[in-house]
Amino acid sequence: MANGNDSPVLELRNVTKRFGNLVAVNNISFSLERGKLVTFVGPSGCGKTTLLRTVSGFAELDEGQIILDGEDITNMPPNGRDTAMVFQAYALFPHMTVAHNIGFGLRVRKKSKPEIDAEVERLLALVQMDGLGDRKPHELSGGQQQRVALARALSLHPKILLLDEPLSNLDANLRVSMREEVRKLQRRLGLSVIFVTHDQEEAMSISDLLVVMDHGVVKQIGSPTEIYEHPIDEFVANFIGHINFFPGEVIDLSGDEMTFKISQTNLKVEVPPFPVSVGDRLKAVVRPESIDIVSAEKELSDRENVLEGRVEFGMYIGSIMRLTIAVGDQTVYVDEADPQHKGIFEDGQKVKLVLKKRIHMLRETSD
Amino acid sequence: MQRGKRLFWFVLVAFTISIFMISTPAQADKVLKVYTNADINEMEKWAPEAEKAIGMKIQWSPRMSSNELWSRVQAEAPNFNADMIWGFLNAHAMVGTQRGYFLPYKSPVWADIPAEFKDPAGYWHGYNYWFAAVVANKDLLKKKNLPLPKSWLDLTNPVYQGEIVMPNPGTSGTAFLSVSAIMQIFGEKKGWEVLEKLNKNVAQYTKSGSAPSQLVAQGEYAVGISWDQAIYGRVEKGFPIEGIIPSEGTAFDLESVAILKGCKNLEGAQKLIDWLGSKEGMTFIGKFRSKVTRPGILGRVQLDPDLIKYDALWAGENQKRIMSEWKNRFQK
Amino acid sequence: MSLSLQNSFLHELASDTRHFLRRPGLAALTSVAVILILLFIVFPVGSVLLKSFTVTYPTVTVRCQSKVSNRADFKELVTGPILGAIRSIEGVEETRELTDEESSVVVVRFRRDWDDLRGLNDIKRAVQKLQGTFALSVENIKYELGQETIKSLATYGRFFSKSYYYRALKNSIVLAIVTTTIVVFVAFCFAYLGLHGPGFIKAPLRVLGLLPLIAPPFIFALSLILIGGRMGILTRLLHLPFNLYGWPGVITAQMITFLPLGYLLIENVLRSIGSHLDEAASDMGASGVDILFKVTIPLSAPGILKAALLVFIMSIADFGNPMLIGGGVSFLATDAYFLWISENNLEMAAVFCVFLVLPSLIMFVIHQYILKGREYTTIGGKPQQVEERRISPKIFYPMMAVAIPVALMIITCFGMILIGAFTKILMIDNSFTLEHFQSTNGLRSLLTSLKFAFGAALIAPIFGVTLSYILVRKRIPLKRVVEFMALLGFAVPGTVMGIGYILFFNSPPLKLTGTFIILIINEAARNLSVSLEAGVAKLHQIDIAIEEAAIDMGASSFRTFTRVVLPLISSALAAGFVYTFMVGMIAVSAVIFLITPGNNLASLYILAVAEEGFLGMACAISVMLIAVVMICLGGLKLLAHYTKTTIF
Ligand SMILES: Nc1ncnc2c1ncn2[C@@H]1O[C@H](COP(=O)(O)OP(=O)(O)OP(=O)(O)O)[C@@H](O)[C@H]1O
Ligand SMILES: [Mg+2]
Repeated sequence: MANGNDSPVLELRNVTKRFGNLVAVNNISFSLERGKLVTFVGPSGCGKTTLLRTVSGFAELDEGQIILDGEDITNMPPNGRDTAMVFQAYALFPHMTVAHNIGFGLRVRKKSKPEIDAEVERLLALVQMDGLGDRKPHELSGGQQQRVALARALSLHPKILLLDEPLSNLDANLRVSMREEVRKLQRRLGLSVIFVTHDQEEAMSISDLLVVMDHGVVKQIGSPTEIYEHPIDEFVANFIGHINFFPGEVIDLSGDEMTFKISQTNLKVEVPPFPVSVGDRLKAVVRPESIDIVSAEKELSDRENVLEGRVEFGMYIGSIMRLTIAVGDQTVYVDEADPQHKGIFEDGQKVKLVLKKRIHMLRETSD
Repeated sequence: MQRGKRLFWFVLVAFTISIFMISTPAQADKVLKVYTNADINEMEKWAPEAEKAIGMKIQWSPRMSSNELWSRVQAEAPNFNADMIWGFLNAHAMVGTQRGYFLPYKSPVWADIPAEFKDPAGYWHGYNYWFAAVVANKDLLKKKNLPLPKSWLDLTNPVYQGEIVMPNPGTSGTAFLSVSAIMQIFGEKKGWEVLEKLNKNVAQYTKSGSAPSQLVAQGEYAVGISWDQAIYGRVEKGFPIEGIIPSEGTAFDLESVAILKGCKNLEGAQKLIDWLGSKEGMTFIGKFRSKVTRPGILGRVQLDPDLIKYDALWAGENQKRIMSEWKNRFQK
Repeated sequence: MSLSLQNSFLHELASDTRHFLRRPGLAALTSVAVILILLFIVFPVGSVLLKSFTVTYPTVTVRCQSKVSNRADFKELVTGPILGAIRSIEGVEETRELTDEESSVVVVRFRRDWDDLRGLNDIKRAVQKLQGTFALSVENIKYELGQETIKSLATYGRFFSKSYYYRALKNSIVLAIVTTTIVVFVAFCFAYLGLHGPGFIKAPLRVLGLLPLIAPPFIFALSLILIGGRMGILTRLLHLPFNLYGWPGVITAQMITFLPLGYLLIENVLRSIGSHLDEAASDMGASGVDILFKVTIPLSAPGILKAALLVFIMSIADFGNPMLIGGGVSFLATDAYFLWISENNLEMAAVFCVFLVLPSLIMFVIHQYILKGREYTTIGGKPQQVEERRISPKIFYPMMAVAIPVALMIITCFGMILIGAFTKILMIDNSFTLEHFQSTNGLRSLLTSLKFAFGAALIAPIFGVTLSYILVRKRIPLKRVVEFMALLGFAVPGTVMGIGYILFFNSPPLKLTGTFIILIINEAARNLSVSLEAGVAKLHQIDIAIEEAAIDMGASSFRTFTRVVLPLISSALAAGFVYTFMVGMIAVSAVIFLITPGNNLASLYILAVAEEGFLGMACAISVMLIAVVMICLGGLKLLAHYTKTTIF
């Protein structure tokens, strides 16, 4: 604890890990502030687990450095590192009781028995498992096993807690409540956590910081809002939530407004925070929930930024209605909140779509 | 943690160790390890008696046929796994002496035993002798209407086809003794002719020289070639068999003992040789064997078999040659 | 292409090695394991191979000390005449002179099959005759017997030129093929009826299919002799003109001996097929026979093939059955033994071993590296509960016709052993007796066997399971090679391992023959693979994350292994223990070469008494042996129950 609280607890410097010819983690640098929860997201096989394992020490680095709390641990064996991991399938020791599982690390450290017992009791209470210490793992439910795994990982007061898809084996409801608990616990204890998931909703809801990965590289690092509202490319935009792309051309620039032409329609939108000039080809990125939808008959006061289309089909999800709309030859997704009260659009119905003035723009990439 | 499993392994290991403890003799009492070609049922009686006489424990080899024993000894040379050989062919004793396998011992007890029964330098001592003989099952012969064979030549009679069991000269001292007797009686050329014809009659070659007696006694075969006590022991037990000493005569072999080089219990080995040469020892062995070598002590059989002047040296000098010839001719 | 392959191989090897060397604990442990494997498996087998490429000749060396001061003529005066006299002696193949200033030395090499004693005496006589001519210049003539070993392919040449040698190879292969075919056929019937047959037949067939496991392998030969030997009950009662000695006996005995192996494997694969495929087929109109031949058999083919390969290996390596009931027909495994014991012809025995190893090794490689994993791709998942289903009569009756006689035969064999043990001399004096049980040496050998089997059963699983951990979980260079070497002990027939041990461990500093521990080590080495495979299978079931969790908690590799891994794979340890114990109690083939005074084993003692014709005593000791095995297994089971440990 020689370092002040403002220095990052974990720092990866140009970390690279290869498996044969495959580069599983490609030159990643990143640092984590103390007491924050960062989530790695990305499609399956993008290297999330591998990155986590380089931190815990199970995967040896090919290049780069890992600094934990100011100490270079790149070449330290896993059992010497002050990290703790919660495994996807929990990896509880099946032949030991819950209490023994939780106390394992303390026994390794040769703590005295009363000390261990007290600590185990405290941890059991922390994860709301009081009184279940004598059970064997197979006598527990999935959520309870998850808690034991968490308690075991916390037993050594690790500098950083590593969670690899810890909730993926749970059913949907349990996932939601467990992730809330994890978040609460993290906040309460001020834990520094790396969380791995490929569930974007989970990622959004739990994190202080999101790291989107693809093919071993970091695509974007940012807060959930940043990533959601300002994805830096199509991949990130696509990966986090549903999205509509409208490719088009800048045909006029005036002050902080510009005219953006998509197929037949001209949109009046704000100029993006990067330099543009007339003739640039851009892509408008619009989330389904930020499009307003009205029936075609309805007269609109403001006729700007309106697209006309036809409902192909609607999917009723309860909280929202997800509509697939044909606009010209493009398909546009629109989420309509609170369908119960706004009425339901029917298939084939003619509709008008209204876009906002502030639209996130991406430069059209050549590929 | 896992108390049950630990207990399981603990009990298992403890049990194994305790088995080792009870069956391994304490280091204190010395053990004499011997190789022998004596039969199992003989050795089960001899060993305890000898143990009493020498005051040590005797561990004897798994029962081995004469040649098996000798092969082992040759393969192990010069790092033998036993202290001595108690009972092996005299021909092998001569070869072993020349090869330097043995330690000499001039036992005072043996002073008054005739020189022909021991090595002049004390490398081996012959304590009894035994001879090859023919055994026949009287009941079976009668049932099959076969004559009682009286000579080696009788055995070549085609009426006995498939009815004769004899030991394999490759493994059995008895068989080798019989084959070299036939060689010495008929001369080598005629000898092979006799063996050719005999081979046609033989149904089975056994590993040991005693097995034919047992098989004939049990009635599996009518006629067998075996050795004296294997036959007479079973006659006394009441089996319907008869021992026949071939009219051309038969060969005897001097059952020998020798101390192997590197012997770890020289005292015990010498004591055993002393005992075997002593009156008591000879009298004891005489209860099992036909003739012993101490003058004045009788063996089991008083009849004086028609022994040829068997040349053990010849046997020692020609065993390999005769055997490879035998194999070439008769190995199926 | 091949160059780049080679490069990537070398690259990987180098990186594995670097990784490995950075972990001193692992490197030390692995090195110890590899050294043990080399020492107790690979080198002995290798020395058999080396031996097969040599020929040993008897030699006599004649050494004369010079007495004269004028040594110039010494060679002419002494060595010359000696050489001249020796050359005409029968059996001499080659003479060499090593004469120097001091002495005249002549080495005489005789034919391979010549008696050295005769050569020595012939030379002595010849030199004696010369004595007069050089008495003045010679002092003190010494003769030495010796041996000369020369590298040569001659032994292979002889193997192929003599029918009584190469016939053994042919016989062994024919025997293995016939036995394998029959065993697979019978085992399939047993397994199929045991699964799909009517209730009354299921349980008996299941029990009988496994029963031969607990018996010393040669007791079937023994009881077949009692039944169908020249004096056998059937032969006598029915006045049969033939008996079972020879081919029919060996094949029958082997069929019963190896039935459990075939049964276990085939039953397992049949069970895993499950009924839904059958149901699907019959839903599409296939008849019971159609399903059997078009669905069941093709689907179980990998399992059947695997069973066939293993039975083939076992049949070729089998020692006890051909020894007892072979009736003089030559087979490789037994003849190699006879070559050694009757002629001390280790070179030819080694050549036999090579031909014994080759087919087994080929089958083993096919089994290990080609078939392995195949059965999982055709048939996935766990064994499923098989539902009662009516079996078509067209299948039922033919299969019953195969299974029932064999089942009866197995029962009869066990019965005969029991009867034989309590009868004076079967068929001659059928009175009851207990005398066969009163063999002090037999009892002592039983105790030795127990000691032996327990010893091996402790060593093999501990070593095998530890090794499986290294092989499955650790990154070590040349992993496949290490694994293959460890499995070699099983693939190589016992005869070869026995002869290998004699060759390799007979001289200092590795002089281990004659000790009891070498017997145990030999047995452990031969059965290592079973524990190894059990460990590998178990480890594959355990999520590696569990071990990582322990390491993550700060536990050392050692602590992880002892506190986490060992408890989890202790069932593999126990399975290895039980298996090694059972086969240890009935071991014959390799240990027969290694026993020395004081450590005779019960199984070998049975063989020896049976061979001398004391069938009653052989039966009695067999009965005691089976009883001891059952008591021990029962005790183990009780202990396991009491301590709540799974062992099977
Ligand atoms: N031990 C290994 N040997 C070879 N390749 C590996 C190994 N472990 C992972 N890989 C490869 O590295 C890449 C990244 O794997 P990783 O497990 O990190 O993906 P992931 O992002 O965790 O995926 P998932 O979401 O499916 O868990 C994959 O292509 C994978 O096949
Ligand atoms: Mg992963």
